[in-house]
Amino acid sequence: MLDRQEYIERLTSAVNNGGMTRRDWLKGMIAAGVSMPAIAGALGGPALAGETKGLRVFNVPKFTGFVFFELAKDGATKACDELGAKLTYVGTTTADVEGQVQVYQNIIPQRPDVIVTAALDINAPVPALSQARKRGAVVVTFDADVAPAGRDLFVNMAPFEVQAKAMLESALANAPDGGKAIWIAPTPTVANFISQKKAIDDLIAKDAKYKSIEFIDTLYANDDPEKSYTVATSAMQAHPDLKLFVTGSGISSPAMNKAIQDTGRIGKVFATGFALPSTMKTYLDTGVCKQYALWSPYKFGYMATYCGLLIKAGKLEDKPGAKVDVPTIGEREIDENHIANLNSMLFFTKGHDDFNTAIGMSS
Amino acid sequence: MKALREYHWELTLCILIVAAVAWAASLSPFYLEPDQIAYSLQQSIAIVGLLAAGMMVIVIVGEIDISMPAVLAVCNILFARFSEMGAPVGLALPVVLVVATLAGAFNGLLIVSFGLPSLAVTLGTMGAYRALALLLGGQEGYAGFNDSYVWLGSAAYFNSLLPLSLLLMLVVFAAFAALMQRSVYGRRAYVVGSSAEAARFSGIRVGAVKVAAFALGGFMAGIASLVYIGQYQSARADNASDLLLLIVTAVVLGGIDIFGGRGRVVGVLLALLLLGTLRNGMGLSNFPGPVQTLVIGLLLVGSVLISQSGQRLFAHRLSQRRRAGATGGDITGG
Repeated sequence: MLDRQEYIERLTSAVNNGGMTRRDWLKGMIAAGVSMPAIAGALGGPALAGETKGLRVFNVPKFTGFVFFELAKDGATKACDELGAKLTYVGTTTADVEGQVQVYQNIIPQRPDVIVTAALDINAPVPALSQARKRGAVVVTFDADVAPAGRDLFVNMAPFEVQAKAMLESALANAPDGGKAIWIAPTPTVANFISQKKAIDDLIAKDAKYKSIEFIDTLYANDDPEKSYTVATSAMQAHPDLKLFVTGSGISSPAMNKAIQDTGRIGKVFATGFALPSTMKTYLDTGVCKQYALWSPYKFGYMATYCGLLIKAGKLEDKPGAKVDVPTIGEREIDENHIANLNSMLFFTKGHDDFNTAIGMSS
Repeated sequence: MKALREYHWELTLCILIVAAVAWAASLSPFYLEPDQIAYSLQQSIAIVGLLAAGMMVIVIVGEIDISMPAVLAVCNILFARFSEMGAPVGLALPVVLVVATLAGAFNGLLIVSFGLPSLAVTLGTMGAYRALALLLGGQEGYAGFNDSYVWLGSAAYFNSLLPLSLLLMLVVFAAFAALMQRSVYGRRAYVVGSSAEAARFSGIRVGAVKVAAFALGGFMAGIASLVYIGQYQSARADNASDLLLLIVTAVVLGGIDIFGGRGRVVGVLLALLLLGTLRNGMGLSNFPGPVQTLVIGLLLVGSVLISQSGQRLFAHRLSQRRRAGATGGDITGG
């Protein structure tokens, strides 16, 4: 049994090296008594290296049923369709760390070629994902990373300067003449928000276009709708000449828009930054908010899957400085931490209020 | 024949396990690989099993403790703090087990001394213990455990066919079977569970039996915590927040009467194997998450309906018949 297995592997590697035609390979396989379904499987499957065709991709979201990850799945499906791979989408119903790890564990025996995932915890999935990698799977994380031992590549939404640009562009779309602004973060220690604010400050200092926006304070709303509402309400009382709230929190954005609406300050104060379309449509419709931004989950899933397939097929070397040309997204570079940026921001305005109709930011 | 009737629930579970194995094997060509099965069972039932063992005793004495996963989270954070300080696991483990046992006993004391319903009390302490974990651990996870901490939960022997944590679970169940079916404490626990009043009449210190059950539950959460750390090699304050459904399902599906006083340890072990096999089969065939959760939920409801109300109905008819035939009160312990 083992001998035959070895024989088959040798034949297959010969055909991969170009030392044997597919026809001879097929003859050899039949001679070895390999069943037709198995041959068909090997032909379309990962046995023939250098091809993305027939590779099996597993897409594991943080949890299922959330529009963001459903769209990421659509992007992943598109990449698989284009490259001839097969996608399986599987996840838990809730943000359940142990459940997600269990999903990874059940994928491992299915001999995945690529796992594309947004992790619920930076550490807990690492033992399972490293096991998958040991067995030959390429693991690509997107949206939420795991520790480096657990993945080959992380597709990041965008560098902080691009995020900052998207937020400031949205601020100017709401208040063309700029004005006094307040930055809203969850707590003083969340790394993401510290980096976002720093990038915003740098961009204002660097680019005259944004000089009219003057940040006068930073307030903390704990990623909580009620807290965001009260923080916004009292800030508007304390600063009668306030023009803008800017935040990277998708939870604070709609709550602050509601505060503006409820206190009758529509058109006087604007709350923008990042937000989820499902929570903001009503404010775009009524003009409380004119524009906000977010990255594209569809392209997120597309790029992560596309890169994973290319790495698995040996068409993209996963090393610092390597460049990959992702269709409809552009050329992206893998950095020294094995991170590549999606770098594709979307603007949402009235009439362009969901992921399908949003307007791409030109870089 | 008598054994057949006596053990009908356990036999049913055995048949269901065989059916589940056949079902999983027919669904997925990847199922029937011994190391796959061992690995998957370890991951899906070792932690749940250790917690279910503790929960089982608490349910047998007629109570419930839904704070067990929160106690596990507190223990995870304590292990993380000890590991951070460079303490060996030999020092950390006893301290953590004492804390866990006290946390369980505290639940029991509140329930017994004030005569409060355990569901309400442990719902409260669940929040309190979770908050304690957050206070001690913050929002960030910890992942720098040294090897001695992760050994118990991650080691496997015989070509990875025997994960250490599964072996531990089997040993624990053997010990619990001896405790519940052979010891004085076990006998008292069943009496307390079927009728606290009758137990009191026969001189059993009901409160002590109950507090001991809760303390044992806490202790098991401490043991499960060390296995958790081995499996996930990390700790965070919100760990294990979704395990309760599985724990309670294992206990009830195992034939433990949710109202206390009845059910055997071996049934819970079989229920765990059944749950593990089902989850493995569904996972390997990539069943969507909602379907998997639905199946487990239906199993819980189904097993409560079939095993308990069936037995209860049967017992009710029996007692009616007895009452019709006999004179005088008939208080039997179980």
